[in-house]
Formats: sequence, C-alpha cells, structure tokens
Amino acid sequence: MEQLIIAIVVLSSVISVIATGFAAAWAEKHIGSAAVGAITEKEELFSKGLVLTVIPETIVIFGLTVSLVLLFVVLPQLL
Amino acid sequence: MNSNVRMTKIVLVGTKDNMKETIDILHSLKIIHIIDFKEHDETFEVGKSLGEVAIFSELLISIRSLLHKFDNGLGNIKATYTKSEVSRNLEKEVFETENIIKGYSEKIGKIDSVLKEIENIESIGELKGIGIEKKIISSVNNLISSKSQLEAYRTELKDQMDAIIEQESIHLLQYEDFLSNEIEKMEAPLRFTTTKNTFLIEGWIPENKYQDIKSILKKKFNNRVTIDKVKFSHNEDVPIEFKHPIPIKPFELLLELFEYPKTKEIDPTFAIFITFPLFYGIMLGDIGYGLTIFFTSLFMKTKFKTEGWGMILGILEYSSLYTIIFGIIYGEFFGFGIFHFLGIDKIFGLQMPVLNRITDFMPIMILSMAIGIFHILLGLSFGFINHYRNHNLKKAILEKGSWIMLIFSIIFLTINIYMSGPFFYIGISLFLTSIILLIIGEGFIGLIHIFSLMSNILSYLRLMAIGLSSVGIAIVINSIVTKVIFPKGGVFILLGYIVLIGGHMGNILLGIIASFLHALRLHYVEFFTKFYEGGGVKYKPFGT
Repeated sequence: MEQLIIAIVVLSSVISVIATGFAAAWAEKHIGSAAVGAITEKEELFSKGLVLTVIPETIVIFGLTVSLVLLFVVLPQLL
Repeated sequence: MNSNVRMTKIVLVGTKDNMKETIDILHSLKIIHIIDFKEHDETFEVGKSLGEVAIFSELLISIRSLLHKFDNGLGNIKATYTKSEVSRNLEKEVFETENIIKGYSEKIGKIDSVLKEIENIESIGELKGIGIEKKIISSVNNLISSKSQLEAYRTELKDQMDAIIEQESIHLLQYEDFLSNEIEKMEAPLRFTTTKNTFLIEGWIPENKYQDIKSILKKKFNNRVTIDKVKFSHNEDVPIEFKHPIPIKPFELLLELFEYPKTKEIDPTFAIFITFPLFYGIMLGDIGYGLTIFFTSLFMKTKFKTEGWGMILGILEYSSLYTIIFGIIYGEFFGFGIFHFLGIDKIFGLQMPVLNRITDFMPIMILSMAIGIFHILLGLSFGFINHYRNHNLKKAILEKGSWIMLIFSIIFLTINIYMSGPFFYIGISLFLTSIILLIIGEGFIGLIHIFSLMSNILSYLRLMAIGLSSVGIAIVINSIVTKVIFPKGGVFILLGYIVLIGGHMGNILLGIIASFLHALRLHYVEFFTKFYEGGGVKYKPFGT
C-alpha cells in the first residue's frame, strides 16, 4: 500500500509536468500563429506578439512547481 | 517622480508667402511637435504640398533600391553635405550610376556563364576518343587555356565595380538624406491649417525653448509670422519627452515597446531600472554566463551604433552585472559549482554558496514569491497615486487601497502561522475591511479578481523555475562531457570540448532570450496591469 501511494505521488509529479507542458505548447501554438499573422500585417507589433506568445508559459511553470513540491516536500514525508 | 520635459502648446500663424521659409526654419530647429490638422470646413482647410513631391519620391525610391542592392554595411555613415553640393542634375547622376553598375554586373554575368561552359567541357574529359575533328579540339583547348585569363579579368571588373560602389554609395546616401528631408518639408503643409492667404500650425514645444523660437521668428519675419502660447488642459495628449539620467535611459525602450505613459501618470522607468535587471539576474544567475553576456554586449556596442541597439545592449549590460552577482550567490560558473571547485567554504563567515539552486529550491521559491508580493504592492501603490491624482482619494482607496490591504492581510495571516502575537486579529480585520471596500469599489465581480491576484503572485515562481531549467541544462552538458565523453580519451577529448562550447553557447542564447522575455512579461502582465494605462504620445519634433 505504502509503495502504491509513493508510486502515485511520483506519477502525479510526472503528469503535472507533461500535461502542463502540452497545455502551454498548445496555447502558444495558437497565439504564436496569430501573432505572426499580425506581424506580417504590421511590423511594429513584433514586441507585443513576442510577449503575448510567452504568456501561457505560466501554465508549465505552475506544473513544474507542483511537481517539485510533490517530489521534494510531499514525498520525503511518506518515505 | 515627474521626469518629463515640460511642454507648452503653441500656435504659429503667418502669411502664406512666408510658409516655405518658416518650414525651413522649423525643420532645422527640430523642436516643434506638430499636431496634424484634421477637421476641415469651408474656411479652414488642409494645406497643399509644395512643389512636385511625386518626382522627388520616385527618385528617392530608385536611390534606395540602388543602395539596397549595394548592401555593404554603409548604413551608419552620416551623410554630411551642404545644400549646394547636391548637384542640380541629381536625377541624371543617379541614372548614370545605375547604368554603370548595370553594365558591370552584366559583363560579369556573361563571363560567369562562359566560365561555366568551359567547366562543362572540361568535365567531359578527353575529346579525342569520340571522333571530333582535330581543328575543333584544338580550338576548344585554346578556350580552356584562356580560363585563367578570363578569371583574372572577372576579378578586375569586380574590383572596379566595388570601387565605384564604394565611391558612389556615399554620394547616394547623401542624396537619400537630402531627398527625404526635402520631401518631409514639401509635405509639411499637409499637416497645417490654411485659409486663402494664411497658414496656421498647432503644436507642442518644450517650454524652455519658447523664447528662443519666438525671437528667431521675430528677427526673421518681423511679425508677419508669429507664435503664441495657447491654454491647454492636462487631459490633452501632451507629447512626452523623458529627461532621465543616462544610466536609466536604456530602460525607456521597455516603455516604448509597450505604450508611452499618459501625461499625469507615474513614469515607471526608474522602478523598471531597479527590478528588471534584478529579475534577470535571479533567473540567469551564473558568473560565466554573466561575464559572457557583459563582454559580448560591450563588443556589440561598438558594432551596432543605432539608438535601439544601444538601448537593448545597455539593458543587457545592467542585467549581466546582476547575473554575475547572483552567480556568486548561487556559486555557479558555467554550471560548475565554483566554490566547491576552488575549495572555498566560507567567505566572511558566510557558508558558500549562499544558495544552491538545485538543492535549496524551496528558499528560492519563497524568495520569488516574496519579491512578487513586493513588486505587486509597488504596482498597486503606483496605481493608488495615479487614481488619487486623476480622480480623488475615495476612488483611490476603494479601488487600489483595498487590494493593498488584502495583500497585507495575507502577509499577516502567514506570519501568524510562524509567530505568536496579535497578527491573526490584525490579519482578519484587514481582510474583512478589504473585502468590504472591494465590493463597494468594484462590486461582487471584484471578488473574482482575487484569483487573478493569486495567479499573479504565483507567476513570480518563474524566477525560480526558469533559473532551475537553465542551470539544469548547464549541469547536464557538464556531466555528459566530464563523465561520459572525456573518460574515453583520444579524439573524444576534442569532441568533448566541442559539445561543451556548443552546448553552453546554446544555453546562453536560450538564457538571454528566456530571461529577457520572462522579466519583460513580469513587468507587462503582472506589474503594469496594476497601475499603468498608457496611450501617451511620444514627442517627435518636426525635422527628425
């Protein structure tokens, strides 16, 4: 039982990075293509497009934080 | 923090026969920011451009396309000339140059195709065997032997062409500058208000320049062209010209990329000057990377001298200094633990490294959150001041003060967990007051924004996360090289160095871009949304 819980915690930490990574990439893909479209119309929008494109990266940062907390804060308490 | 140049609104009126001269003077003074005239009616209408703009524009286009063809990095030569130097037969000269260059490149092209044919024949090999007449073979051989001669002729032509290009491009740059100025002057009346016999320019000038321009105009035209101050309200879009001290100047770029501040808004450049490099340093934090970026940007400053590049490189320089400082705190040199390597344990009684980014990520995480809370509080206090200036104290307290109280209540409640004292009661009472103020100020919708505030604060975790990923890559590169490749010896040592240099170069590039963008994002999305409205106009005087 104990081992199962540990395995679930480790798996959760893995999933949180993978899933949020995919989510961020997916969001960025859409924003990025829209931004490139806008930049071809109006070149001054480059900086704004660049900043808008990195906005969803927050998602993966949250995921990374969650996984780090799971691995280094939750897991040691179980061991 | 009002660091803008004081502007004053002016109206310049004169008779039409003096218009051309007035434009010349204003163009050389480079101080008046013209407001374009838009609403025309029966008496007032937009002025007409002087002379034949179309011919000039066409010429300008052909000059630019020629310059574009040359494309030899002459972009930064400052064209110095006097007006008389620009010959009257400008058009003829430009077309002559165009033809000469065309002739040369055609000749070179022909030689190139002949050379190519010769190579083809050569590649067939021995011609005797396939039954071709002796006469033809000898003439072909003659042709082949003249190949080196042709090549020499080609380089000679090419050198001649390059010399002409170099000589002419300076002229052409001068013409380009001259023509674009002339066109700007000719088209200036399109921005004026005119009646049948007079013209009127509305615009802004720095207040301290007013007397100068007035006396210049008086001396020249003796009251036939006059300038006067006009009353204006501060709600008008007064153009903004910053007067920051030189160290802070580069950071204006970050405002320019976003939007210029409105006249009465707080100018956040100084705050950005402090926080932007700090965030950058926390994220990248490596002595080796910092030094690399510092010297690269110093070097690039000598190559790229435009204003925009200067600003970007200036920002990078400051940021790299912080990167070095945090590199010392983290004890990292290209991902290697430098203090461990040098055998230094303590400096001034401090355990070295102060923080290890891999093992002590929790303290860095808490530090990032604390920085985030501080930064958002700063933004909210700016917002408080802006609201107070533009509206009144009540609105400021309801809309910004409530948020500030909310954050403080969270801080007190957190302290309560670790320390005993009256913190709990202070926290709870602050919390309830702030919620009530929020509901009064923004309605129940305001409560939803509590979540966005939370995500804003959590967003500062990237200070830890970006750094962790950057140091992670560096450590992976180092361990692959030192533990896998180097032990094999021989050629692998060389390969190891290639991997080491290439990997770290890639990581530095990623680090520069990622740290820059994320520091920028923290300012634009988390910080600016708390107070910044933007939409101001940049002061852009006529003639620049």
